[in-house]
Amino acid sequence: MRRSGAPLLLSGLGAAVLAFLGIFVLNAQGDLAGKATALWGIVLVTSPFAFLLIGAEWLLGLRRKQGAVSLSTFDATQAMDNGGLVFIKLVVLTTCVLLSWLFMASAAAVWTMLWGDYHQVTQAVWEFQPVLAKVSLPWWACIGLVLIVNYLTAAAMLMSGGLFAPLRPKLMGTVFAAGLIYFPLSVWDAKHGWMLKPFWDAHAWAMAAALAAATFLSWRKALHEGYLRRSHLFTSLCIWLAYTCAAVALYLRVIPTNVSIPFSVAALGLSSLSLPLVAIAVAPLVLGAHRHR
Amino acid sequence: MSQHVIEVTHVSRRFGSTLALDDVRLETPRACVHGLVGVNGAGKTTLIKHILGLLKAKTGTVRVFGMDPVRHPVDVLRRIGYLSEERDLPEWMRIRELMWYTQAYHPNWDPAYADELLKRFGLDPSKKVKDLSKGMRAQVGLIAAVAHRPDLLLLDEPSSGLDAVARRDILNAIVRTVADDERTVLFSSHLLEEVEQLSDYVTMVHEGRVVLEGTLDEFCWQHRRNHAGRRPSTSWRTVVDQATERRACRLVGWPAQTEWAFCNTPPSSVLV
Repeated sequence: MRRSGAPLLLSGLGAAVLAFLGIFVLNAQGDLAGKATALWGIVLVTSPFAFLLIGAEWLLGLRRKQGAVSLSTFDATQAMDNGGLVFIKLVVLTTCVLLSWLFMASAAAVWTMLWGDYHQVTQAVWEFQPVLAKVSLPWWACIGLVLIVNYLTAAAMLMSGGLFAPLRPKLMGTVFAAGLIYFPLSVWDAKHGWMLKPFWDAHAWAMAAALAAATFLSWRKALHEGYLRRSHLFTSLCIWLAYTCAAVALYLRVIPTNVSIPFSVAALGLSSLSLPLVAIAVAPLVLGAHRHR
Repeated sequence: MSQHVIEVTHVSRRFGSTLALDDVRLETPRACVHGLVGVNGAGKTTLIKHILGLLKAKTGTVRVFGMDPVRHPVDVLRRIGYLSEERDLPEWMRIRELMWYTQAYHPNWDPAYADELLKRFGLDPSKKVKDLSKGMRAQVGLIAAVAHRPDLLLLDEPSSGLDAVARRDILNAIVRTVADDERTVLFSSHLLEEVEQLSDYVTMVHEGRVVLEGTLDEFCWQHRRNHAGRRPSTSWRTVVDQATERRACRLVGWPAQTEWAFCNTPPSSVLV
């Protein structure tokens, strides 16, 4: 925790102070009249993802030796399996992100109390309270479970991506470039009445199939390589089952029944439920690829 | 159960166009000090990395305590003490913290032995690793490697960059570990002097190939035969062709086909 945690937490604190000072200066110049609260809202929503992105890379501790990026020999020779190593890194990462986000939330609170529109914020909270009160405890549990599992999945996938990128830099570059093309294409298509609907449908089916295949292949390989301990398998599958039930229940509650969803999108949504399973198998596999080159 | 702690069979490894290991076969018997000798870049570290599971055998097999170190890293690494050539220790830790950290992975950790070695090396436990000299890092790494009384101690160029005093201390520590507990040591070195002082069994690696192997006694016996005016025989388990012999002789800096032995004429020359 001290090796990566302390610098990460200091960075989180520094980011909070910077955000505080930045908004303070902009506000003092009159550029932010009435927008500071919204800006803090944006910062609070986006900062966990920014922290996650930075922290994941930081925690990997990869080093460049003789032209190859790899784990440090010290890390790689500890008597711990790859799943254990991933788990420890994930715990440190999520703890640091949560604490860094709390720094940011504290900075936002201080700013609101001293210079912001405190009454506006409290009024908004009071307005939301009845809505939130309507949600019963089991539903809160469902929301919490879905959020936590998704967040851990995102953290594990980011770490896996960070580990995979040095192994296959060209492939990662190609995927990234493809992603950059798809975004403007989707924006253009949306403005032109979704002319390319068959194209997107085909992609949704392909993605769904790819996810299903990735789940199957990654688990098969991880089990074959002995990266998934049998004792952890049962726990992982139970949590995933609970997550799937919670996610489906939330979907059925939130989305009105009269809304029709294309089959391809439904298939993609269903297959995306397996993402936590992919993360469980892929993270130790990619770490193993670095540790046992 | 196999009588060998390490069994490497037909392992080859290529990095780009460089053949780092070429059909290497290595066996380390229990309770012996096995010296791996060769020039820099001969493939010693690559071989040790295969034994640790840091490199996966692309061809052939690697077994340590009868297990594959890639498939069973916990079971294998728990029984190994390793000192890397790079002295790759976490810079931000204090020596004391490093000992605690390492202890967490090894139930057999002997704190009294660790303290004794710290005192013997004159190391201040409150010092940070980043503030240590190269020699001190080697000493700290060695303590972390031996204090859990490992069944197998792997030392990659243990005396690299050390002064004579530190080298002697390290060697003493190794010998003591082995002598006291009858455990196995595999160490790599390019110093013949060191190999001669420590090893029961020697393997010479050159250009990724095992060119010579045998017990130190065999080396001595070979030396005696040489002095009796005979050519060195190739009665080693590994058959060494004459070209390889000549190359190895050139490496050692001795006249070809006359001096193989490390005994009696301790060469201070370094194989670089």
